[in-house]
Amino acid sequence: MIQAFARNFFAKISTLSVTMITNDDQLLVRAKQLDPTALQALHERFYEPVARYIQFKVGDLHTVEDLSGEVFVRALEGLRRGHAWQESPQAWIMGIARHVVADYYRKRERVTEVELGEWVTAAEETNPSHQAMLSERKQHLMQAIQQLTEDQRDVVLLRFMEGINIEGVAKAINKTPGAVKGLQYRAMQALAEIMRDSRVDSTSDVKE
Amino acid sequence: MNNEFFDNPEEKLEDALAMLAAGITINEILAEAGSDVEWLRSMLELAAEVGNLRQAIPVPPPEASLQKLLAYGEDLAKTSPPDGQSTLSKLIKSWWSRLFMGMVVVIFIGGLYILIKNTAVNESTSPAEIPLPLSTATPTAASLPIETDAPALVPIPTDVSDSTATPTATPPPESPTATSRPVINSTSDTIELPPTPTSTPTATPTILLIKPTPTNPLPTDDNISDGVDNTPTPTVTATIPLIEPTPADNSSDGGNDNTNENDSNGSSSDDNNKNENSNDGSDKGNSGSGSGDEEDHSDDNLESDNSDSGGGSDDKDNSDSGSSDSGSDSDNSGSDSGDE
Repeated sequence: MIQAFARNFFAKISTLSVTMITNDDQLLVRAKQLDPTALQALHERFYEPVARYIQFKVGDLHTVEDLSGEVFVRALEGLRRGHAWQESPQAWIMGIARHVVADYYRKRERVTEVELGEWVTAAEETNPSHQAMLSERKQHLMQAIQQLTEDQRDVVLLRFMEGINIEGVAKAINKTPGAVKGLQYRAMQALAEIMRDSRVDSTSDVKE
Repeated sequence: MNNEFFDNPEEKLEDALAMLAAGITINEILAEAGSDVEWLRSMLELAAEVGNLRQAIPVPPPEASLQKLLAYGEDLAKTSPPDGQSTLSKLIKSWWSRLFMGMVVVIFIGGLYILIKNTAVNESTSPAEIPLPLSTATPTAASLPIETDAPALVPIPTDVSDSTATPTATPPPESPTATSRPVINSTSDTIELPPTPTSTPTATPTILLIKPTPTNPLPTDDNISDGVDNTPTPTVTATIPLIEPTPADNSSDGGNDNTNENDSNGSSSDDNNKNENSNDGSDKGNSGSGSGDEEDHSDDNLESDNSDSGGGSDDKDNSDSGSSDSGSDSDNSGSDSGDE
C-alpha cells in the first residue's frame, strides 16, 4: 500500500518535471521556427526576469526597454544558429542579458553605472507606489548590492532575486558551480558587513 | 541540519539556502546550525530580503521589447527559407551531395589510373603500334646528335624523290615524326641506327632529308600528287592512321622545314631548342631562299595545327624557328653552295 503510493507519487513528480521541461523545450523550438505565437510566449515567459536584471544593472527605463528587446533578438539569433540552452532556459537567457549589459557598458566606454539615487528616482517616476514600498532598509540593501563586485552582484541577483540554482548561475556567468558558491558566500558576507555598517551609521546619525 | 557534513562555509550556506528555497523556515534551519548560527542567520535573512526586492524593482512595459522581437522574427521569416527545411534535412542533403561528389571524383581518378596503366603497359609491349607514345618518343630522337646525322644525309637526295612523297602521303595526325619514319627506313643504309623500336623515332633527324638541296629536283604540285600515288608508304604507315596530305606543304623549301618544325612541336621546350638548332643546321643545307622560308612558315603553322596537338605553344615555336631561319639565311648562302 505504502509502496504503491510512493511509486505513484514519484511517478507523478517525474512526469510533472518532464512536462515542464518539455514545455520549455517546445516553446523554444517553436520560437526557433519563428512562430509569432511562440515568440510572444517566449517573451512573456522571460521578460520580467530579464528586464528586472537589466533594470538593476542599468537603471534607465528606456535603456531597459532597448536592452530587453536586444536580449530577445540575440536569443532568437542563437536559436536560429543552433546555440541552444542547456538544462535551464532561464539561465541561458539571463546569460544573454548579462552579455548585453556588458556590451552596453563597453559601448559607453565604461560610463559610471547609474547611481542608485537616479535608479530609485526613475522607479518612483514610473510607479509612485514604489515610494511606499521601498523602505529605508530596502534602499540600503540596494545600495549595498551596488557596492558588490560585478560577479558578486550577478550571483546575488540571479541566485536570490531570480531564484536560479547554482548550476544555472554558473552557466549564465561562465563560472564553475564551485566558483559560484564561493562568490555567493563572499557576496553575502560583504552584504552583511555593508548593512551592519550602514545600520551603525544611521544610528549614529540619529544620536547626533 | 546537514552542516555537520560540510566543513566549507560555502557549502553550508548553499545547503541552508536550498532548504530555505524548499520552504523550510529560517528558524528551523538555524535550529540545527550549531555553532554557525550567527553568521548563517544574517546571511539567510539577507538572502530573503534580496528575494523580496524583486517586487520593488520597477519593470518597463513589455510592448516595445515584444514589438522589436516580433519585427525581427518577421524579417527572419522573410529572408530565411520556410521551416520545413530543418537543419537535419539540410545536413542530410549536404551529406548526400558530398557523397555523390566524392563518388564522382573516385570514379574519375580510378578511370584515369586505369587509362594510364593500360597506356604504360601498351607502351612497354609495343610502342610502335601506339600512336600516342610516338610523340613522346620524339624527344629521344631529338636528343640524338643531329650534327652527326647531318652529313649522313647528304646522299639522301637521291632518295628524296622517293621519300619526299611520304610526308604528303602519310602525315600522321598527331606526330609529325611519323613523316620522318619512312625517310628513316630509306636512309637506314646510310645512318646506322639502333634497331630497337625506340630508335625508329630517332630517324627523325632524317627530317634533314626534307631539306632539298639544289641538286634535288623539288617536286612540283603535280609531281607531288604523282609521288603520292606512286610511292607506297613505308611499313610504319600501316599502323598510323592516315591524314589527307596537303600538297602545298611539300611544294617548296618550307615543306622541308615543316618536318623540322613539326618535330619540334611534338617535343618539349628543350627539344624544341635542339630542333631549332637543327633547323639552323638544315638551313645551312638549304638554299638561301630566306623569303621563301618565311612564307612557308605560315604554311607550317597551318600544318602544325592540323597535325599537332600543341596549340599555341606550337605556333610560338614555329615563329621562333622562322625568325632564326630568316636570320641565318644570308649567312647560310655560303654553306649552301658548299653543300651543293
